[in-house]
Amino acid sequence: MIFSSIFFLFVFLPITLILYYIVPRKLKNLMLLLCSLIFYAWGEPVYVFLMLFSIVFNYLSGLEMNTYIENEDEKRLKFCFYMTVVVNLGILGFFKYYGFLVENLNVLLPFDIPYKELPLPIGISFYTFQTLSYIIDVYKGRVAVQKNFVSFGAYVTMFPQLIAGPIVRYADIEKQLAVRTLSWYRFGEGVTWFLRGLGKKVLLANNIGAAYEAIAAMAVGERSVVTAWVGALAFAMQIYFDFGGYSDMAVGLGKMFGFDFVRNFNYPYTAKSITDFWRRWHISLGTWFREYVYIPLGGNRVSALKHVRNILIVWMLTGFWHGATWNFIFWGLYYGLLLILEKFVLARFLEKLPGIIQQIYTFVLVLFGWVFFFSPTMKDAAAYLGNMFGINGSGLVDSMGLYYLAGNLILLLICIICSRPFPWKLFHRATMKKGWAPSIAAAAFYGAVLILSVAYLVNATYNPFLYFRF
Amino acid sequence: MNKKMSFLMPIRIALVVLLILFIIFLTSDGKESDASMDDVKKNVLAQVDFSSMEESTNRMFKKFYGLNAQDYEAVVLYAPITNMDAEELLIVKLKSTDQAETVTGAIEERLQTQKNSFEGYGIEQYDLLKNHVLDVEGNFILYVVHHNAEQAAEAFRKSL
Repeated sequence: MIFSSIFFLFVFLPITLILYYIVPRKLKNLMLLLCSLIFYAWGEPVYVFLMLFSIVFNYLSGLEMNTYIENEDEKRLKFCFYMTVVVNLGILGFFKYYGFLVENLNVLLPFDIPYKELPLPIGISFYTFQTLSYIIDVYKGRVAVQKNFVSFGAYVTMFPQLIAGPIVRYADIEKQLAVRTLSWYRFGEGVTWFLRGLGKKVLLANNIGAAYEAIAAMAVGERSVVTAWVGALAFAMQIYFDFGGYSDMAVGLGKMFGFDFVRNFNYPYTAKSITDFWRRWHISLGTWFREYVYIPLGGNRVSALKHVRNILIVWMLTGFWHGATWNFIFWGLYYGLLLILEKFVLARFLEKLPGIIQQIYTFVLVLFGWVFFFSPTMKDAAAYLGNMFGINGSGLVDSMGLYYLAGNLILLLICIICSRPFPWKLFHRATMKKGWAPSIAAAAFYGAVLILSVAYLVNATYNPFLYFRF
Repeated sequence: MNKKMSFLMPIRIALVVLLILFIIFLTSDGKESDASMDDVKKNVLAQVDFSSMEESTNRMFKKFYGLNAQDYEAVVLYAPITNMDAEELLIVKLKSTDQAETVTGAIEERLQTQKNSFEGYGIEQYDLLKNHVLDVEGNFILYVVHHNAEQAAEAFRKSL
């Protein structure tokens, strides 16, 4: 089930909210757990068992580790911890990377290993990282063990963030699982977050995505420089408003149910360096890798050589987390190398440049990064990048390039404007003034977003979120 | 201090064994097929009277299903010649089985759109749509709206 579907908006969500609000406080987590399981089972009737396994296994692991902590049995604690981590990563590895591994082995070996690639369970990368955050924090003594099965189950399955994040660390939500405030103000705030996200996904991402898809489907020789740049720009906007929109919807739904999730995006396309970009893009994933990989490896409090190694490990893993292809690994390493370059060489020059030049520098490098991200293979990525510089394409500018540029110019401009903070600041300032008029204007705006989005959804073909495949 | 192994350890080990059995179950059916699209198409078309349909282009595939044919190993689409017919045949050979969900999702959407179009006035077409066959067999997907949909599906399965 996806948030931007008529069924979710008009059937699942209202029923879930009514049930959630009418049950007594102590049954709310149970209701959330049950509704989340239905939400997941709707699209994954088989893999829901895998998620149930993950909940039961990690819940019991937490309890077992707690027994060893209380008994000061260091040896068994370690064994239990490592076994749990291996099982969790083993499941993720099998469902996400097994096919990739066998495919690559088959290239190297003189014989073929037969295999059947299973469909990727939706959200597995997200919920595995969430349960790992719990297991690692219990092991390290940073959080208390969760003895209530329903609360733990609700944490893992919570449908607002189950299938595409944000990756909510257990430590960030531990208290809210026990006590949280429900209020009309918070509910209303959640609705506005949700509608902003819905508008970003349906009105901006889906429409600009159509331009990217048409350009990506063109043969290499048919793309001019202008076409290639319009395509890359369209994808940059599509993925930002698609994933950013999903994250806003997740935050909004969280608020409707009384939770505060971490913010996942902070105007990434206004970043003034690649370092800055990754503090603003998919913040919850960056935080996870920093807390559970980068810092345990020593972070930057080691020799320069080890620091470089740590950055490269984290970014290779970040790339690999996104998918089992060489493209993603390269995409991750591309950012690792850029971050190293900025840290050791470019930072001092960059900060002397005007802000707008810093932003353009960052955005262009991010655009090149997206080419590796959206291309099916490294060969396709190289061909597309070649097109962006006039290699093997159809010249600098052609009629198709002008057609795509003119046809999408207004939408691209709207996307660029909406990717910056000032429109929101202006809107917020105007609608938060005292009196009825600003409130009516805000309600009219959000009402229009809902009506327009629904109008688009009624006629839309299946259009899942891009991050569902991770 | 009591330094015995927790009773939870055997339960967790039993869970891991169950998980392994679950994975074996998942991988035991629907193996990928090496059959060529031409052979599958020939066998399926032998069961279907396609006089009211014509073979369509990748552009039509994009228009009907919102998907790019280039993303898949091979696509065969037979669509109705006029808007008054509902018969349709789609065979997709996937590059990877994890594409199956996207394709079946798109097919479900297309089916719903067609049902909405014919509901109320095209009783015969609506019945055909209701009795459609959507079959996922490893890396092949068949979607057929036709009087002989079941026979077409059988020919499809046999040719893999």
